[in-house]
Amino acid sequence: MSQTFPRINRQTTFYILVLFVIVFNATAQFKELKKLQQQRKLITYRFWGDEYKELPRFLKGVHKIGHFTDRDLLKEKIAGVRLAQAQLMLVPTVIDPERTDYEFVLVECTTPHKALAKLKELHLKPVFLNPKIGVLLGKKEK
Amino acid sequence: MFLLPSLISWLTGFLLLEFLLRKSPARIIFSLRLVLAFGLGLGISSYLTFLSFPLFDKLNGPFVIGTHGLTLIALIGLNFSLIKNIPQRLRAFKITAQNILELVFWGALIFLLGQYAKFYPDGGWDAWSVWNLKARFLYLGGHDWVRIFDPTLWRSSPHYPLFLPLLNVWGWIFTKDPTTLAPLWHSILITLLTLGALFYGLKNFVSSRAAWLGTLLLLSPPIFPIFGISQYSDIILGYYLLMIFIVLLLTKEANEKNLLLLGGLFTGFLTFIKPEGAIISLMLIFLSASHWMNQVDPKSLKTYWLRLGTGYLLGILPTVIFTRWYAPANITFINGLTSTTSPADGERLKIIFQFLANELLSGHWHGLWVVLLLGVFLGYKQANPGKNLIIPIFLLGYMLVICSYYWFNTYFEIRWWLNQTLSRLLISLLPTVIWWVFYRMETSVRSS
Repeated sequence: MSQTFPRINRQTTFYILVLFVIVFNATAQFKELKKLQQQRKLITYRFWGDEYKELPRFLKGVHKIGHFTDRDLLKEKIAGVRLAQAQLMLVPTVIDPERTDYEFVLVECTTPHKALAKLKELHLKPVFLNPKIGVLLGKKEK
Repeated sequence: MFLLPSLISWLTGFLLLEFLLRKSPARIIFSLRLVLAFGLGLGISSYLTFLSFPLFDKLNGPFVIGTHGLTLIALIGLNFSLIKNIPQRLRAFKITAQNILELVFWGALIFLLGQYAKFYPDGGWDAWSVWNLKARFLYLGGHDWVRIFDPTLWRSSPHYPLFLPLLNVWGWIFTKDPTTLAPLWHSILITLLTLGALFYGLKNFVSSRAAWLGTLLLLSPPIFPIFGISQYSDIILGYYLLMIFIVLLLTKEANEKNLLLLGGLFTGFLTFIKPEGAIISLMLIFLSASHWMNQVDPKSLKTYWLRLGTGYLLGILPTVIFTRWYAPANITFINGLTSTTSPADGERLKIIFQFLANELLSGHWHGLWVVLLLGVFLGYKQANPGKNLIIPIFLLGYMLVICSYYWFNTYFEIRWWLNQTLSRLLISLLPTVIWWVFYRMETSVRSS
């Protein structure tokens, strides 16, 4: 009897602790799901990559394109997200971020007006424009 | 249609496993066989898909489907007697209350993971900037798939191996469209398989009680299902790591040397999942060798080595081809031991250990690591301490190697780097740690 008691004690202690953590975390899990549900009600899920899905048809056979954004790629998370999701959609074309010396340049600005101005400054002809979000694909004028 | 490739993978794995274990005395419950078979099958599918690239210099869908078909036909031929006995086996199968409870549990899990997946259908940041990006290059790139190695894409770690992207490509061959459905399904499947490996691994070796508690504990903090459906490779690493230890223990308990072939294959798979998988695999091979030196007679040792070595060599073959002919060097590396501009100093080391301690106690783990650490102390007296000693030695050794790498690779600012990667590293170790702690607790000695 004295031999079995300590093992039961250690195991029981551990399993009670485990049960406590499971129950506590189950409520956390429930709260997390509820929080996500509420967030989704306020802000609809948006995959930025969808804004670029029209572009591959203009870039058949193009290996690399340039890229310009008026957002700070290092400081603004959204700039990085947009760049990564644009790259995902443009495969197998490669985007060279923050370089404009290519035949095609993807210009992303906070407003369509700014994007058009930048296009003019870079001497690019618009090939594709998403008027809602200021995304432009420009081609070098010959 | 998106389920069909997984079904083919599972069937391939199942038939190969049954063939390897056809004369085995190993006591492996059927559900654990299913989990092991899935791991084997998914690895084979990823490897057969990879074969298309060195052979045709692009993805060749009919070739991938054809090689799967031929493999299946060969395996059906090898397992003819097993297939003949299926009706008899089905008649012998009994539905118990425990089976029904388990089915309800897995159904509830699919529902829970589905809920999270609904909120993150495209996965986390690394899904679209690394893993799915590589998969799309492989699927859509034709001969230009090698652009994944373009240095311009350094953010996607061009040197990373391709196990998960190839698995997603295998799914897309059937859906004919590189949508998020296949990656999402694979992330749910692999999360379920990780939980399944833990559940049936504990049930097979110790008890149902440990299986339920251990699995619920792993599932309980929201961080696990969220990482699970993120479409990252870390959970796959965790799944195979746990299965390697399960297979090693099965080998030991049943003295079934064919299982070592499987263990070797799984260890080889690790090298194609993530770069740290290569370090893990070398550590595991070294540890297994030292472990057996003392426990196995010299005659058996040779057989042990032959089986494990054959499996491992087969498993690392794609990694060897990938590393030798395709992968660029890791450009995110500065040797802090020799660099004068970014030296590996004491301050960096201090930050690493402080960060690690803070991470283990961090709120997003919801006390998980604390309770596991307590479990290690409470189960300290082992009836046979040498039996699973390989796990704590591996865990300590691996953490030491990882901390050293964080210290001497000074390419990244250390706080940012730890912030981005440490939780993922711990997620991949978590299933093995839980399995080990519960195994220890159930096998602790009766005397005080």
